Amino acid sequence: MTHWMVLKIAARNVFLHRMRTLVVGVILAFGAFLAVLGHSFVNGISGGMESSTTQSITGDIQIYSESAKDKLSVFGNMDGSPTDVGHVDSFESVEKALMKNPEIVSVVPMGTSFAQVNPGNILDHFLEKLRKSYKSANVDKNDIDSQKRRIRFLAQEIQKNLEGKFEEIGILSAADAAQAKINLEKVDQEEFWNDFDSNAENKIEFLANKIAPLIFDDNMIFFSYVGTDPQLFKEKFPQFEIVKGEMIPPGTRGFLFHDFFYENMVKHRIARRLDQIKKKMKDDKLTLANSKELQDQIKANVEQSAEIYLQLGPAETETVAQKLNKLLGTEEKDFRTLLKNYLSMSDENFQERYDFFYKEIAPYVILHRVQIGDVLPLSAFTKAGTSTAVNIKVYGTFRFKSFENSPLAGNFSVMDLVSLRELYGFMTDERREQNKEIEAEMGLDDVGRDSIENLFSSSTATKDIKPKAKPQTIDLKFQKRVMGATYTQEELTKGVFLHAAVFLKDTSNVDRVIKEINELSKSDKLGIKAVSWQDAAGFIGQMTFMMKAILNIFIGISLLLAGLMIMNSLLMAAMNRKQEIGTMRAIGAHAQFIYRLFFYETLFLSLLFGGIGAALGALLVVILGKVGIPASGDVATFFFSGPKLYLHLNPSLIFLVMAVMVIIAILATQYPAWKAMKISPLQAMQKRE
Amino acid sequence: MQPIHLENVQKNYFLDKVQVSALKGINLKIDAGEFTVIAGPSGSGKTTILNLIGCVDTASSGKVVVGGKETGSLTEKQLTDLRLHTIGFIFQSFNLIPVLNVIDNVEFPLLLQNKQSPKERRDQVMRFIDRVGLTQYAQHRPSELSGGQRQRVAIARALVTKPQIVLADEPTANLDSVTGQNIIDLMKEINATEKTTFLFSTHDHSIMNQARRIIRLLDGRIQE
Ligand SMILES: Nc1ncnc2c1ncn2[C@@H]1O[C@H](COP(=O)(O)OP(=O)(O)O)[C@@H](O)[C@H]1O
Ligand SMILES: [Mg+2]
Repeated sequence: MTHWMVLKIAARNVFLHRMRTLVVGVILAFGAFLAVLGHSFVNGISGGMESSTTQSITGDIQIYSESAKDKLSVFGNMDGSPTDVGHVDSFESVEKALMKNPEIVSVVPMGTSFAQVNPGNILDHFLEKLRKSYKSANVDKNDIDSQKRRIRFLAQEIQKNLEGKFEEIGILSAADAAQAKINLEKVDQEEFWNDFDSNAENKIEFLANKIAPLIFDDNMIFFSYVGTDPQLFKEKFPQFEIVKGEMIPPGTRGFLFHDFFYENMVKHRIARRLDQIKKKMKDDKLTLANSKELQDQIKANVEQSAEIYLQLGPAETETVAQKLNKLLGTEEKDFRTLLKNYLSMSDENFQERYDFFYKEIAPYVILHRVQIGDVLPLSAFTKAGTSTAVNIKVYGTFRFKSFENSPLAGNFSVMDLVSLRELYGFMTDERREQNKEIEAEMGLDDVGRDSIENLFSSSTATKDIKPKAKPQTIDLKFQKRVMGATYTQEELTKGVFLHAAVFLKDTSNVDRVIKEINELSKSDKLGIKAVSWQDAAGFIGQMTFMMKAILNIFIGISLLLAGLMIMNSLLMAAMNRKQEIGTMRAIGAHAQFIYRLFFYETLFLSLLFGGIGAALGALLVVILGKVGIPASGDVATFFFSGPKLYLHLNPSLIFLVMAVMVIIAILATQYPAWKAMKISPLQAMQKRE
Repeated sequence: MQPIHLENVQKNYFLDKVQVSALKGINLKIDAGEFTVIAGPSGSGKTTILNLIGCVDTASSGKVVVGGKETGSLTEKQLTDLRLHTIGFIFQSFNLIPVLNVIDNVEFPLLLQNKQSPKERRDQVMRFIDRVGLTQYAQHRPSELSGGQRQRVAIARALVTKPQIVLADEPTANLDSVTGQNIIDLMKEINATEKTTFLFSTHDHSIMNQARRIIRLLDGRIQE
């Protein structure tokens, strides 16, 4: 009964002291608002990171060798270096043991690593082709001559490119620059080419060593990949889908690029920037006039226009020049200036020029530095310190549905586990012998269709290339036959693996199953240990943890502040209301009653304003859940697991926030209430001043 | 058995280590239903005596028996209960709870007692409000009432629990003489009808002369 009266008095006190109530209330409301919004935000980010990590690489649990030197971190260390997690000997026996646990749905063997591939620059590419042509069984003189003309033209372009700029290029010392000048002049001379055929090997060597490096063009592709059972991987990561090309056929060695990576890192840089600008204009309604980001990309395209003109032969240059002049309505003679003018795009002409690029320019340039069907020469440093190279065919690209734009889910490309083992030096001697034999047998004879020649010869014959000519693909230099291109399923499952993804029926059991796996490993001597996806994700996992920690510290501080304010105001209230409290005590109210009076007052305050704050936060979360928060820049895209973050309101969060509010109320009440309880009924007798 | 019984009660205060003897051996018995005034100049110890009887303070020595209970042997909680059930207070400065209206203020001690059904309680509250003539102000807040009206609310609050003893320390000091007289008349009337023991202090001669029994205090001693 007295509760009702206490509440009444408390509520009226809250309204009576409006100023105090407002100050404390605003702080409380802000704290609750921040808690709801912030947690939804961080949960959105970490949820996105979680699903894009667990559903693209880690699964729910990762297992790896018990005696690993480093902790497993599938994304590598913070500094980008790979981790040494050792290996587990037999996948088959581990899988068999684990599958006895009814919680475990499947186990996918893996090994993650980094690779660096240098597809070479355009001159390297032409030289490699020429080298092959010389080695070919039936040497085609015309073909070789046309290739030579193409190379000579490119050398001239390089010379033109560097003219008067040798000193500016910081990479070259003065002596090197002088030497480079001499070398370029030498290649420009008729004599250099006269005795080319008789001295082909040396000439090609000279061009490759002395001239090719003068294309200052960093072509290195650096990527992470996961070696696995591709068929199992596809099945167990249900979001997996092929975008370009085809799936690696069962039992075949092969490689799949992640489409995100392929489109972002492998594609011709100018084309990629044009794609990005177009996307940003459409998705984010950015304009070239207003967006610094887009302006910078246009600027970069102009600066790197060499990526186009160095790839065009003389006839192509002429054709493109004609069309460009027509498009721009100019009569510019200098192709490079013309190209730069073309690449300086604005909002008015962007779409037209974008279409022009794909229609008229893209067919003559290497649009992707690695193409579907190419063979990648991958190399890795084995544990023994030796470099092993594996040639592996690129079958296509893939992505994970609904994580198309997540850089996190796009981190890994896929290859077969057998090739990974080889890269890692886990080859059996038998296998190695076998490879040597095959290598010796085959030699290097596969050149394929010479598309450059097609382009080139048509240009020497006539000045006009048929406008509707089919885009010609340009083969890269590493078109070699793959060694030991197949493997048996047994070979795959019986062999070693570095780590494996474990999928559970119910992801809320992760902690329990980890414990069970670790116990099983001890009792059955499996030699493995299990970690959660967060642990396996290394710094990514820690990042979500840290974001939550930082947010909680922030919220904690604001709530602590609110708590202190409440405490202070209650203390003042206790002092100001000594007579009132004394009167209540004199009339017969127990100390407990006074305590409750204070407690209800804060409770009322915190629930009311905490509720208002939480409701406002929830409202904003719901709105942002509909509209989405656009990611500005690459970092945000990474954290948002895509270009937009959609918040999701978790109702239990509101309850949690309200519970925290009550706890704050309880804590903040203690001291002032204790002080108030100590107020003597004698205070009632004091004359009012 | 008298509701109030004091035996050789002394009360000393310490002011900066200097001892002040406020009461110097008080012996006093008050019978049930008496209408008694404690008279004396300012500083003579009136408030001190009332505080001891009202169980809001403790004697330095001697025996204080209120409602048959020796207060010196009671715990803080028991003293509170004694105040709640046996004593009604009327304060010099009315001491109403500012955020509560007249009804709630009068109801307050009944709620603390928690002995009645809400209906019974409400009826009793309204009866006492009617008794002090404030029915039409029942929904008003103290700040909307005059001094005399406030003291009437305080009287209703002190009486609503039907206490054995009503203590009032200079209940008219903050009122003009006409209003003060009205309050005293009301107290006399209630004393006559309800047989409640009234003990109040004053230094106003016109008021003290209306009491049936006057206890004269001077410098901490009874002059009777
Ligand atoms: N809390 C106190 N501390 C010190 N001295 C006090 C205190 N209360 C009262 N006294 C002293 O005790 C004496 C009696 O005071 P009091 O009972 O208030 O007198 P009255 O109510 O008759 O004016 C006075 O001398 C007063 O100064
Ligand atoms: Mg006094």
